[in-house]
Amino acid sequence: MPGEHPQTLTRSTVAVRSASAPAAPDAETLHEIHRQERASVTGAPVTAPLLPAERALLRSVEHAVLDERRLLTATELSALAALPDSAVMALASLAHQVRLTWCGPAVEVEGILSAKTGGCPEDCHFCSQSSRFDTTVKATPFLDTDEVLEAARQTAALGASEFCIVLAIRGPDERTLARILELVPLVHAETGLNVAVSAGILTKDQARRLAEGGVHRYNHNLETARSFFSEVVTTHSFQERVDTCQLVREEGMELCCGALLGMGESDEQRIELLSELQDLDPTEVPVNFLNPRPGTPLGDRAPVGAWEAVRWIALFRLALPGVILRYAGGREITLRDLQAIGMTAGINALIVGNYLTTLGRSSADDLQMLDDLRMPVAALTVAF
Amino acid sequence: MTQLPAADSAPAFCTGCGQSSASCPGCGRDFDPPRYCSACGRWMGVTVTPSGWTARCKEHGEQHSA
Ligand code: SF4
Ligand SMILES: [Zn+2]
Ligand SMILES: [Zn+2]
Repeated sequence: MPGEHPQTLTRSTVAVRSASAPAAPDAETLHEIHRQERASVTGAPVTAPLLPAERALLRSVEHAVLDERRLLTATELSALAALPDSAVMALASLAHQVRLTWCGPAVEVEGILSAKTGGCPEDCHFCSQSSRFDTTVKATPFLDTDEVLEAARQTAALGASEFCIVLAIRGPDERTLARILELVPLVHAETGLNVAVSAGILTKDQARRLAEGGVHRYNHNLETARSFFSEVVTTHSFQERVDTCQLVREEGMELCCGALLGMGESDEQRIELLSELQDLDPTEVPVNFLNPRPGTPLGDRAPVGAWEAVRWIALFRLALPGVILRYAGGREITLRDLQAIGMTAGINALIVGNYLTTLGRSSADDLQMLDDLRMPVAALTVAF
Repeated sequence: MTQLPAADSAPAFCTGCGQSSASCPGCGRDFDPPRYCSACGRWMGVTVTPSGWTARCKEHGEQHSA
């Protein structure tokens, strides 16, 4: 009778196979064996109860972040990263508590626009806009003012508070900087949106002029760990990125500094990135998942698994309790139907609508998701 | 500029790679805008905005997202 050996049947496929079974299994037993074999194909079952040591780890982390209100160390984050898949929902639940405690229930909504697409001289191996790779995205001219204003109006109509103008360049030349400085006040006056800019590496003078020109937040991603960076970018250094991030803060803009997960980096390197982000102390961290682009060196990589993505969203929130943690590119193909779980695993901001060169899921679906989760939409700023 | 074929007729070219539909039945991915014109296979400049996209074929003019 299968009911007499429940533990054998629910522990693992190996145990079932290695058990000496004198009699042929009945239909119900076979069904259970097949169910387990199917489960083993797509990943281990994720419903096992937590072990005492796992519960103790989560309690100590909860105490550190919610009671002591301190940042977790790399050692603590590594221990969390090593938890089994069956602990991911507990990790997500704790991350959600941390988000509510540190940031509240509101969600910030942003629209982004690639105002200068393709033809970038840099060689970021994940990017379809690099001129070094043979992709279907080619250099196109800077959009007209009217096109930028129309995109900003679309963004405002989606209920967003933030609009980011993005340029595929190494850094702005004088003409490009002047064009950005012309657009920023126009967009703000036309729509009332906070205007963010992403235009690559800056000098101190350029950062100052952008801050004085009304740029609310400047995006410059670290993307990955210092120790992995040269595997995916060779035309500029990790330190150049850090330097620009520091200039942004020094000159008084809010820093938006994100990550791109799934390029082949190890768990330790993700923790290393989190430690760098803790040091930089950005206002916002957009979390991107690799959407492998045909023609780029990373074009054949498999996307991050959905369950793994939930784990790392939770780890980002636990490591960076006060940041605006934004869902960015790749979430549709990575999380699919689990996108709402990310919202209860630490995410408190969204890019709605389309991305720079790829499309997002419908903004109506995102706004419905927030409504169903009873998460109000609001502009956010630094937590504390 | 020639007319685009009617929307309900089979596309002559793959919008993901620009090859004829006989060579590629369609390799465009979910969440990608068209990059090649379905009528002539030419590469198109594409503007992606928060609410849609516009693609421009030199021969067939502008196409917009629904
Ligand atoms: S600098 Fe930006 S636009 Fe240029 S290749 Fe790197 S990610 Fe792409
Ligand atoms: Zn094709
Ligand atoms: Zn055409």
